[in-house]
Amino acid sequence: MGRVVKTKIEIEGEVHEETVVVERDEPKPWEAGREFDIVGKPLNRVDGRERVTGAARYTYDIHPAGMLFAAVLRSPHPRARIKSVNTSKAERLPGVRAVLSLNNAPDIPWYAGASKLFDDEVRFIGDEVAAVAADDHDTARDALGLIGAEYETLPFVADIEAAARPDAPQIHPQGNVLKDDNGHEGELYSRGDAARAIKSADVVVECTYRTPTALHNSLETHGAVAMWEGDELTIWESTQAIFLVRSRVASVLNMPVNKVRVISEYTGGGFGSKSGPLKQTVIAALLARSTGRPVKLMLDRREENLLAGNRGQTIQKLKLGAKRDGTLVGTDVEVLFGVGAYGTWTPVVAGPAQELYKCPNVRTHTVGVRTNFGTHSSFRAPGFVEGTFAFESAVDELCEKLGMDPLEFRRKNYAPRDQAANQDYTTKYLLECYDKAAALMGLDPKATLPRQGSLGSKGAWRRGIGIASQTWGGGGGPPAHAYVRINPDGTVEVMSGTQDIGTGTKTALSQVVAEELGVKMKDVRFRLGDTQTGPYAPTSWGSITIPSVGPAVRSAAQDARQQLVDIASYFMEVPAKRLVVREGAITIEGRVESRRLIRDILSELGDYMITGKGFRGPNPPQPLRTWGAQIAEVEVNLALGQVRVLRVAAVHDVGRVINPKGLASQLYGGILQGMGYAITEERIVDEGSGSALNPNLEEYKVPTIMDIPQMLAEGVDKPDLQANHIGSKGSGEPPIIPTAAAITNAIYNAVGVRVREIPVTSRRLLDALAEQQGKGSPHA
Amino acid sequence: MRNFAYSKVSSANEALTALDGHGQRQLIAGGTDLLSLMKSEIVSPDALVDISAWQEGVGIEARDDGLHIGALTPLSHLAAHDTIQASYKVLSDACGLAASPQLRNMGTLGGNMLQQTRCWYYRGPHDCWLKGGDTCFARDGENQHHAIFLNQPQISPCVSAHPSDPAVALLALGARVKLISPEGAREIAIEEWFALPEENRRNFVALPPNSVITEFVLPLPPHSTRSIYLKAMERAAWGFALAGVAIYVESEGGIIRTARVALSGVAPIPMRAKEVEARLMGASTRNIDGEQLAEALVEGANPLSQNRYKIALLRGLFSEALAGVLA
Repeated sequence: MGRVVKTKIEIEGEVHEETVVVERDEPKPWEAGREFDIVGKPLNRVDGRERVTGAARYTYDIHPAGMLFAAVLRSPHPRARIKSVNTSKAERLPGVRAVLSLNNAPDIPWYAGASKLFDDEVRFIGDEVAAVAADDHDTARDALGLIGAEYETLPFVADIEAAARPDAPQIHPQGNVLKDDNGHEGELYSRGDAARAIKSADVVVECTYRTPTALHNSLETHGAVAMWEGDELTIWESTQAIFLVRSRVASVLNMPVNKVRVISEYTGGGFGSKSGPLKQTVIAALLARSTGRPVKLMLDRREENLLAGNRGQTIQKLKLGAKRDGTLVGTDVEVLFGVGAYGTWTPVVAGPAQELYKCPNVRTHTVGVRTNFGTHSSFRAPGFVEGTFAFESAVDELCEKLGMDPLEFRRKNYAPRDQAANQDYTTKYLLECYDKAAALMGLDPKATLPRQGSLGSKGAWRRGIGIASQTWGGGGGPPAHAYVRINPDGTVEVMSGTQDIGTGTKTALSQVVAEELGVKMKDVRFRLGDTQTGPYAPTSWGSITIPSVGPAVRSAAQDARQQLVDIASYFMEVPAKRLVVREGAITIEGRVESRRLIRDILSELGDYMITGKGFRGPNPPQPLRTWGAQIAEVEVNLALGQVRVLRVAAVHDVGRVINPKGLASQLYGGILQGMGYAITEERIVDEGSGSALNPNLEEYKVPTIMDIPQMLAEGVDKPDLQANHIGSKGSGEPPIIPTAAAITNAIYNAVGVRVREIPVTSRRLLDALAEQQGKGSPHA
Repeated sequence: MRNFAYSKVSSANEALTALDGHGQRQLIAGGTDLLSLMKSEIVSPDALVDISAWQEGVGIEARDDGLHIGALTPLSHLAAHDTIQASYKVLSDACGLAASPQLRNMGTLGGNMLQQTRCWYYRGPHDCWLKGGDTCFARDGENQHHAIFLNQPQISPCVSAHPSDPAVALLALGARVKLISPEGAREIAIEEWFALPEENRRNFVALPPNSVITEFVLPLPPHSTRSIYLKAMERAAWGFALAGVAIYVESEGGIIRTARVALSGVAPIPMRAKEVEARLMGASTRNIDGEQLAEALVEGANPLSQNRYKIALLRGLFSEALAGVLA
């Protein structure tokens, strides 16, 4: 029997205390410098072939016999009361099997009770009004056109600053501005006396930064297929959170969880937006129940970009004060963050300003405000991406004003311990990140960065270099579980209810199992993404999968390995502790000739199967952090306002690297998404009509293959053995965090003009250049 | 997408017959633009006449009177064609910079001349003037991508910017368009093809009803011609022109005899810069004040609330293009 303990778990900037079960002693940590057979090797993805050949079955590919297609009628108004919904014409259309609306839908609360599955008030363009299930997709869409909905339009608000004012139309009874637990507007953090420190500082910068609403644009849109067999419900869902989908769906449909099964073996990207069920999952389940047939409801690209989440827009006002020698003495940050129509939480946008550098006096105030647009969601390091862009840009401004090298400033203001928690970190190798990133760029690691304008020019092109640092959680924690089964033929199955959302989870976790068990990678089959076969594992967010599930699968593998050597000890007639398991064979230590294959030993037992059970133990009391630094080199065309990102060096401290190739691919993805945020991606809205103008892929501009810079990406690769016994932390989110600031600081370094709003498009850059030249416009 | 009748034809004449009938009938070739318009139900024809199987519609052939390009020739062929790269570079530049490889493989030169505007109000659910409504929402709305020329209300009720890259290349080359209609075959200058929209004709092409483009003819160039197309986009590929500049010059003994300059992405239709052309003609190629010409180019620009930057952008792009074509 285990014991029950309390532990701290950090997810996306918020720390929670959880009560967890420690089932037995944990495996001993994989010590630093240990020689591995499989861990640390740059292996290809175990499911790479399925993914690139199309054999992998995503939710979109699921097609049970008799399946119907559903489509949703959505509000064309940013805010309206639905006076009536007439579905009779739609119901009579041949091929239509069911119509769901507020006329007949069960009363299911949604958005933390602020609305319902089908509400009589709609609060953004895209809000659900009715749904149809039909024999094919076109019939379902046609039926939507036959539904008569009568609306009474209501005043709406599109702009976050306008929405925060008391005279704005209040779109919920509790108001537009989110309040903290004490009823105060926004979230306040304070240490020391920031106002006083800034007032008495030698050098002060005061600036306002703006960031856009950014869209995830996962390649696979959100959606689900729901199928009933008797009173049991199976849901295939493109999700990062099979267990959360299970519990929420069971809860709103009043079902026991053991009658709901959720499957997501392949997920075509999530980036935080798929961290729980959206309405369409429940709508599909209800339509499937009323028709007695499986129902598929996938969003199209426009729906995806209107309602499936976003990174909220921010306006950030920063004041930084430093001594003449470059010591940071005061930080004050005021954040306004757009949460959309139904947002209930605000990401920790001020987190970087609180934690990144040593500073005794910090005040931050973060205010979330609702507007009549789709609700925001987690988006790859929510808050820290927005906040790091503004804070690291302001730091660059401060360095400029101090006449101090940005690298020197960062080394000087290095924070050796967590200033909010007043505790030491488990590990922190940020200084190594600076050195290594500088070296990758061909700079003398101890030298300074090239000064503004010093990198030279060619025609209208100017070159520049910029740096930014990053902190983030990513320590993971319990509960997370796994089973490891050794079959009589020596093959291995790992079962865990985690998800691989494209990050390489399956590959890295298989490496952990193969290493611990002493078997070959080809003999390990990892089964995940199914609540029926896998024990609980957490939502794949907050960069927690490897540090949470990694120790659990190792623990299960260790349990299985122990059982294996206990069995082998009987047949090989030596104590179990003298047996070595490696590459699928068991050897008595020091006696090569004693080698026997696992399957030969197990064949002695007939159909006996070993089942190892593993768990994730509690976290240490110290804060678990990841760190990183990126240096970007850009080329900027003064005449065209065009930015080319030439090179980005990214070095991140995420503990032990399980698979360097997998880590590099996470870093590449983060850099590219961060680059899009910096220079191309932005939701454009028409405030007059409350509508998004580019909810598509042609005008919402994610970088293309032609935009990709040279990327030099590495981990520090030092294990954090206090964090967990595999020594790894998460790497999914850290790499997107510093990219935008590194790029925009490089743009400043190239042209000497600071653009304080991203993305830095031709328009913004040319406008800023014109303003700096004092012309306003040549033809004003 | 609404339901529609579908027929497939194998020649331009068959297409003409198939277009003659009840309801709104529309030709489809590559379908790269039409299908997306139909999916978002901005355009809902009763019948589609698929002309993509017309084999003679594809091809590039040098004849005595010039280079003939079949209307169905995909942009990717034009971008990669030796003769075009050598003698009509502005066209291979423009086709190579258009869209993405997949779209260039499907999209035809004929279809490209009928490409609809990318204005997000037109492409979205707004009931804008171009779609038959009363208002151009971009005029006082989100207009960073929109026109800086020919956008005054009395000139064009729609302020969108024309998206076609190949169109300005054809303008710069002085191309001719051959088409057939129930009234017979005719040939017009590419200049006459595009027309600013009017109250009773809310599109950008003055096309006789039920016409089919059969081919384009590029005049034989004299030996010393040079041409170029440059385009500014918001990312390195797959972006519509924020601005595009096509320049064609014929010179003799260092003196420019003929010059044509055409602009994309800055006016509701592809636009010639005749003032600049006039200043170029007769000038010595070694003695051209590019900066002054760039100023002349943007004279008369009428920026909207969010697109003043296009003036600087166009100046910069023109200077670079001019330097490139004179180099």
